[in-house]
Amino acid sequence: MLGKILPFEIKFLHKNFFTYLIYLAMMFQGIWYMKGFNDYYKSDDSLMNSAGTMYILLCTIGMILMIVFSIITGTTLYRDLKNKTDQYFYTLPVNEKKFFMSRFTASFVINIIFSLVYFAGCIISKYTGIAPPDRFGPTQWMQIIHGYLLFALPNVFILTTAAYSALVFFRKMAPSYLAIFFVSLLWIIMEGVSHTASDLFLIKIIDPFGYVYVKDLVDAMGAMQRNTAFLTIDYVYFINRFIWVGAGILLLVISRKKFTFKYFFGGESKKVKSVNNSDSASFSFLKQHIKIPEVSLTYSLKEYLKKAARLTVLEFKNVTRPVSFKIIIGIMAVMFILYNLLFNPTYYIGSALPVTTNMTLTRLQINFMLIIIIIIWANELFFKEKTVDVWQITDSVPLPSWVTLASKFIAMCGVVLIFGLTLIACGLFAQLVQGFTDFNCLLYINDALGYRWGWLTYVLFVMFTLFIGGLTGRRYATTILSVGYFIIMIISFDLGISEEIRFGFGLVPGIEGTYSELNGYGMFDAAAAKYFLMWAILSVALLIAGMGLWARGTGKSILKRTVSGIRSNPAALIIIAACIFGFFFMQGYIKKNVNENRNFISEKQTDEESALYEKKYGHLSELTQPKIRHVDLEVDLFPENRKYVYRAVLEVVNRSKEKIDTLYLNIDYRSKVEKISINNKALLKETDDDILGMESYKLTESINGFDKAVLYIEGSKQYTGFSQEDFQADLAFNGLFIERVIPVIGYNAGRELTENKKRKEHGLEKLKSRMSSVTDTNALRTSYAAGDALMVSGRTTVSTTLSQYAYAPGELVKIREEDNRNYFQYSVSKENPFYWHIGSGKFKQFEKVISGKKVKILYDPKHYFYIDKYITFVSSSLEYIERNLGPFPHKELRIIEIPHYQDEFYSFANTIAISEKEGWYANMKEKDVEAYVHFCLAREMIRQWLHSKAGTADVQGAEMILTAIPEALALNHIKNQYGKEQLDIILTKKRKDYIKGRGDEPNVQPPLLYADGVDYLEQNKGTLAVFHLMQQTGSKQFHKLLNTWISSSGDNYLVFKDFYSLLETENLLGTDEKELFETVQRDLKI
Amino acid sequence: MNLEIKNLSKTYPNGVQALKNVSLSIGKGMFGLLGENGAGKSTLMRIITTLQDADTGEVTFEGINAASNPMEIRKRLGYLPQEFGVYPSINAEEMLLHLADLKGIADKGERKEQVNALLSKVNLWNDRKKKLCGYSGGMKQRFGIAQALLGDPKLIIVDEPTAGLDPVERNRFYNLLSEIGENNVVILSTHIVEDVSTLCNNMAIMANGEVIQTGTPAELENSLADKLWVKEIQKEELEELLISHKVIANHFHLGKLSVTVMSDKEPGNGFNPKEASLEDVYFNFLGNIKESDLRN
Ligand SMILES: Nc1ncnc2c1ncn2[C@@H]1O[C@H](COP(=O)(O)OP(=O)(O)OP(=O)(O)O)[C@@H](O)[C@H]1O
Ligand SMILES: [Mg+2]
Repeated sequence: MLGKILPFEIKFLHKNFFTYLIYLAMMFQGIWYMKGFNDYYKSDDSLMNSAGTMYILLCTIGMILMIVFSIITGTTLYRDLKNKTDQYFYTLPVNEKKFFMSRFTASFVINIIFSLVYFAGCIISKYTGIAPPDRFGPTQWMQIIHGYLLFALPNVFILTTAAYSALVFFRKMAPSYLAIFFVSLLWIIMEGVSHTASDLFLIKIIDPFGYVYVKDLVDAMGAMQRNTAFLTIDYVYFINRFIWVGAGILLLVISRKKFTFKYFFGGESKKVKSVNNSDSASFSFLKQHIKIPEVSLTYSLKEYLKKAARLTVLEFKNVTRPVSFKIIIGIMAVMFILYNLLFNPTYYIGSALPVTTNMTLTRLQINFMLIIIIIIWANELFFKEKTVDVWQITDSVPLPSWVTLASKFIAMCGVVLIFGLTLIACGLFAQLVQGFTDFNCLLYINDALGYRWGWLTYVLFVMFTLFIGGLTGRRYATTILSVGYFIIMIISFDLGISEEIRFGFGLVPGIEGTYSELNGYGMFDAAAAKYFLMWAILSVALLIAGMGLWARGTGKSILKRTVSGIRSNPAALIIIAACIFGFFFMQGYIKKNVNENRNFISEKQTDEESALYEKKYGHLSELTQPKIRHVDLEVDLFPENRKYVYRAVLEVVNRSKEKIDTLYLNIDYRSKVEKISINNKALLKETDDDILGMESYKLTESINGFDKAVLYIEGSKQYTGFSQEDFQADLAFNGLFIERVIPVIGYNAGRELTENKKRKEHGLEKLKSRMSSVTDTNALRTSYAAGDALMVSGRTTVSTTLSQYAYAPGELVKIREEDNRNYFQYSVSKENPFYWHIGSGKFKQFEKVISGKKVKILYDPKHYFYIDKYITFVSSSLEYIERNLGPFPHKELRIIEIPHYQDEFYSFANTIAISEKEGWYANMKEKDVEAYVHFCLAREMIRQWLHSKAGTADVQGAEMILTAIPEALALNHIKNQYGKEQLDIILTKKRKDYIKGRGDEPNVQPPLLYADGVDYLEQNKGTLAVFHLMQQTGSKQFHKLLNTWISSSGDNYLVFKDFYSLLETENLLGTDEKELFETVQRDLKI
Repeated sequence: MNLEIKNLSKTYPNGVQALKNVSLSIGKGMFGLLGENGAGKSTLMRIITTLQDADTGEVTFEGINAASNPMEIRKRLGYLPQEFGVYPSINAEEMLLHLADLKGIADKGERKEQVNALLSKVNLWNDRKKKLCGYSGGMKQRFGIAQALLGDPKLIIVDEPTAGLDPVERNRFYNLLSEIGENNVVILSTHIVEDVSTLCNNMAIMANGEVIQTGTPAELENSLADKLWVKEIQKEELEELLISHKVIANHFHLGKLSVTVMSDKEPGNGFNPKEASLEDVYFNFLGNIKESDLRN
C-alpha cells in the first residue's frame, strides 16, 4: 500500500504551486540562518559553516519549517475529511491500519524532504555571497550526516507524530497545528531558560529537539575544534532521545490503534436536543396555510452599529465557547505558571523571589508562538464564511462588510485580551503560591495589556492580518503572508540582521531586558509610546483599508475592489491618507530623535566609529598628556531633565620631560565644555570632532616637563530625544550612575575594537594581546583604573533633586538642602585609584555601626527583603579582612543598589554599588544563593581593601589582581562560613562558565599569567587557579605573601607577574601550578 | 419590477467562457433557467446576486445597477446557492435568526416570527433545534430555501432548489414558490424540466454560456407542434435511425427503445405523432447545439 500511497502523495504535493514556494522558503531559511550565525561565534577562526554550527542548525529545524510542518503534516490524512472524499475511503477494500501507516509515512517522508531542502540551503549558503568566502570552510559532509541522523531525523519524526496523533485524537486540523506549536514552544522556552539556568540537565532533557544539549557542547568547543569536530554524545543524549522519540513512537502506536475509518471519517452524530412536542403541536397548524409575516428592514448607521455590537458578542462567544479554546487557555495557563514557578526567577545558581518583573517576563518567551497563533486564529475568524462555505449566503446580504469585520475584529480583541489576562492571573497565582504578595499591578497591566508585547501588540497584529486578508482575499495566502512576515521580522531582529525597530511592525523599544526595578522603563517609556502611536496610526489605516478592500463574492481582483472601495467610501480614503501621512510623519520624527540625535547607533556604525577613532587618534597614545592627581569636583544632577553640569578643579602633573602644549579631551556628542583653563589661563579650542568625540585645546602656556598645573573644566551633558536601545544609564530618572563625569584626557584606548575579526574587517592590525605586556614600561606606569590619572584624592560635592540621595567616592562630609535641592559633600583623603563614580536615586536607607564602621545601605524601597543579611555579610567579611589582611581602610561604607544597566558591581572609595539583579531580590532562603551573594559582597569588600593599598598597572594580569585574587579570598571566606558543599557549588559553576566562555573566545586565549581582561577568564579560571594556589600554600601563608607583595610595591602599580615570581621564589609552585598559570590547558585540572 | 440583463459576458481566468453575451428581461413571476451542466446558469446567478463581476454587460433590477450599487440589490435579494455550507455547531433556528439579522430585520420579534413561519413552511419546525451538521441533504436544502426567503425579498434567485428533495418536499416547495412568485421576481435554475413546466410562466434555455431560447413553456412547446413522432424499436435499429432521421430523444421503456424524431412531414414507417413536451423542446435545442458544434 505504501508503494501506492507514497508516490501519489508526493506527486499530489508537487501539483501544488505552494510546494515550490515552500522549497524556496526553506532554501531561504537555510541561507538566512547561516547569515544569522555569522556573528554568533566571535573568533575570527570560526568558520560560518563549521561542523558545530551545522550540528546546532540540524537541531533547530527552523521556524519557517516548523510552520510548514504544522500546516502540511496532517493534510495527508485530513484532506479526505475536508474534501469529503472520506465517503469513498470508508468503503474502500483496504486495510485501515496499513492505510494509516502509509499516510503517516508519506507525511514523514514529505517532511524529511522539506527538512533536506532547508539543510541544502545551509550548505549552499557559502556560494551566495552572504559573507566573504574566507569565512567558509569545506562542507563537513560526514558531520552533517551524523547530525542529521542524531537530531534532525528524530526531530522530524517527533513533530510528525505529534501532529498526526493530535489529528487522530481530535479529528480536526487545529489540534495538529497546535501540537507542533506546543512542541516548538517547549523548545523555545527551554532555549530561553538555558541562558540563565544554573543546572542545564533537566532543561536538556525537556528540550524536545536536543538543541540545548548540542548548543552547550558546541559552545564549549574552541573555534578550531568547532570547525571540524564530530559531536561526542553522552548519556544525556540518550535519555533525551529515549524520552522524546519514545513519546513519538508511543503516540504513533496509540493513534494507529485508535484509527479506523469508522472512527475517523464517521463523524458520529452527537446527541440532538430533544424537541418539545407540545411546542411542535402548537405550531403544527401553521404548516399548511401560514402566511409569511412581513417584516420591516432597517439599514441605518445606528442599526449597523447596534448590529455590530450584537455580532461582536456572538463572534466572541463562538470563539471562546468551544472546548478547544478552553483547552488552549488551559495549556497556556499551565505553561505560564510552570514557567513562573520554575524558570523565570533564576539567580546565578539558585532562584530569585517572584517579583512581578520576573512574572511578566514569561510573555517574551511565549509571545513568538502566541502571536503566530493569534494571526492564524484571527484569520480563521475573518474567513470563517469562506471556510464553511456559507459565503455565498452571507456575502449577498445587504450588510456592509465593515459591520461584520468590525465585529470580528472587536471579538478578536476580546479573545486576545483573555490571553493577556491569563498571563496576569498566572503571574499572580505563581506569586501567591510562593507566598509573595508585593504585586506590582501597574507593571502587570503595562506589560500584559500594553504595547510591549502585550495585548495592544496582539491587537496590532490582528489589524495587520485583517489588512492582508483584505488585500489577498484568500485565507491561505493571508496566513502565509502574515505569519511569514512576522517570523522573518522577528528572526531578523533576533539575528541582528535588522536593527532599526521602527521598521518592524508593532515593535517598540525597550521590550526585552530593559525594565529596571529602580528606573522602570525609564526613557523607553516615552520612546515606546511614540513607536506605538506610529504603529497604531498605521494600523488604523490598515484596518480601514482591509475592510474597504474586503472581497465579497468571488474572483474580484484587487484592482476592482480598490476602485469600488474608493468609490463607495471616499471619506475612508481621506482617513487612510491622513493615517499614512501620520505614519510617515512619525517615522520621520522617530528617526530624527533616535538616529539623527545619535541616540541610537547601529552596531556596524559603532564598530566603524571605534575603528576610525583608533586610526585617527591612535598616534596620540604616544603623546604626553597631563595626569590627574587631585580632584575638586562639583556636580549638579538633574535626573528629570537627564542632565548634569559640573565644575572640576583638577590638579594635574606632567610626568615626562617633554612639555605639553595641546590638551586632548574626549567629549562625546552630548557633552559640552563650557569653560576650560589651565593655571587660570583660558584654552583655545583647536579641533572639534563631534562624531568621534574628540576635542583639542591649545595651551596658552605649556606645561613643562615634570611640572604641575591646575586644570579647570566646566561642562555639561544632556540627553535629548529618546533612544531605541541605549539605556543612557548615566542619566536615568532614578538610580542614575555616572562612571565618570570628567572627560577622559588624551587617547582613550578603551574605545578600541578588541575582537580580531572585527579589527580585520575594519582594516586594523590584529591584536596579539588585548592588554600591554608586562615589559611595556609606559604601561607599567599607567593606572589600570584610568590612563589619565594617578592615584587620586579629592572632594566632591554633588547635588540632586530633593527626592533623591546622591553619592560620590569618599566619606560623607556634609548634607545640606538648598534651593530645593539636596547637596552632598564627600571627601577622599587617602589616595585611591581613579574610580570616580557618581550616582543618585530614590533610596531607602539603613544604617548600622559594625565594629566601629558606619555601614549604610541605600536600596530600592521595594527590595527590603534581605537587608539584615547584607549587614551580616558585611560584618563577617569585615572580620575576615581584619583578621587576615589587616585593618579595613574606611570608617564608612556605603552599599548602594543601582539599575542593571551597567556593570554588576562597582567598588570605589567607601562605596560598593551593586546592580539590582545581583542579590537584592535573590531568594536567600536557599543556602546556595545566600552563599553566593555573601561571596560577592566579600569580594567587593576585599577590593575596597586592595584599592586603598595600591593601584594596579595597566598590563596583562591586572584583572588577576582585581578579580581573581579578591574572589579567591572571598571563596576562602565562604568555605569558612558555609563549608565545602557551598564552596563546591560556586567552583563548579565557575568551571562551567570558563569552559563555555573560552569556546567563544574571539581572539586567542592567553595563559593566566598574561590574562588580558576577558570576562570568562580571570573570574573563572583565574579565580579557580588562585584559590587552588591558596589551598596549596595554606591560607595563612598566602595572606602573608599577598601583604608582603603589596607593601613591597611602594609607589609602583601592582603587577600580577611580580606576585607570581614571589610565589616562585618561595618555592610554592609545582609543575602543575606552573602549567596552570603559564599555559592554556585543554582540560581544566582544578 | 423588472430584472434586465444586458449583454453579459464572463470568461474565467482558466479560459472558460461561461457567459457569452447573455441578455434577458425578466418580469414578475417565476422564471425558469434550463440548461445542461456547465451551461453557465450558476455563473449568471452569481453575477445577478453581486457575488461575481461580469466582464462586460450589466444587470439592473428596478433600475438599480447590480455592479455599481450592489448594496441596493442585496436589500432586495434572496439567494439559494447551488452548494453551500453551514456553521456546523449551531442549529437551524439560530442560524436563521442570525441571517435575518444580517439581512436587516432589526426587530427581534419580527425576526423570530418570520423565522418560525419559514421553518414551518419548509417543514423544519421539528428539527429546528438540531445542529446543522446533523442535517440530511434534503433538510439542508430546505434550510437553504428558508434562508433565501428571509426579509421579504423581491428578487429571489434559487439555484437548483429541488436538488435532493423528496417528492413530498418538492411539492411543498412548488407551492411555497408559486405563492411567493406572484408578487416577486423569482429565477430558478434546474435540470428538471418538470420544475419549469409546472412552475414557470417564463423560461430560457442556456447552453455553452448562451441563451438559446426564451419564451413561455407553452410557446416553446408550440414551436414543436405537429413535428414530433414517436416509435418503439429494437435497440439494434437505432444506429440506422440516427442517420436517417433527426432523433431528439430515446429512452428505454419496458425493454424496448422508444425514439422521438423530429420531422415536418410524417416520417411513416410506424411512427406515431407525439404531443410536444417541454422536455422534447429542451432535447431538441440541445441536439441542435451539439450538431452545430460538430459541424464547426
Ligand atoms: N470558479 C470557476 N473557475 C473556472 N471555471 C469555472 C468556475 N466556475 C464555473 N466555471 C466554468 O464555467 C462554466 C459554467 O459553470 P456554471 O457553474 O455556471 O454552470 P451551471 O450551468 O451552473 O452548471 P451545473 O448545472 O452543473 O450547475 C463551466 O464550464 C465551468 O467549468
Ligand atoms: Mg450550477
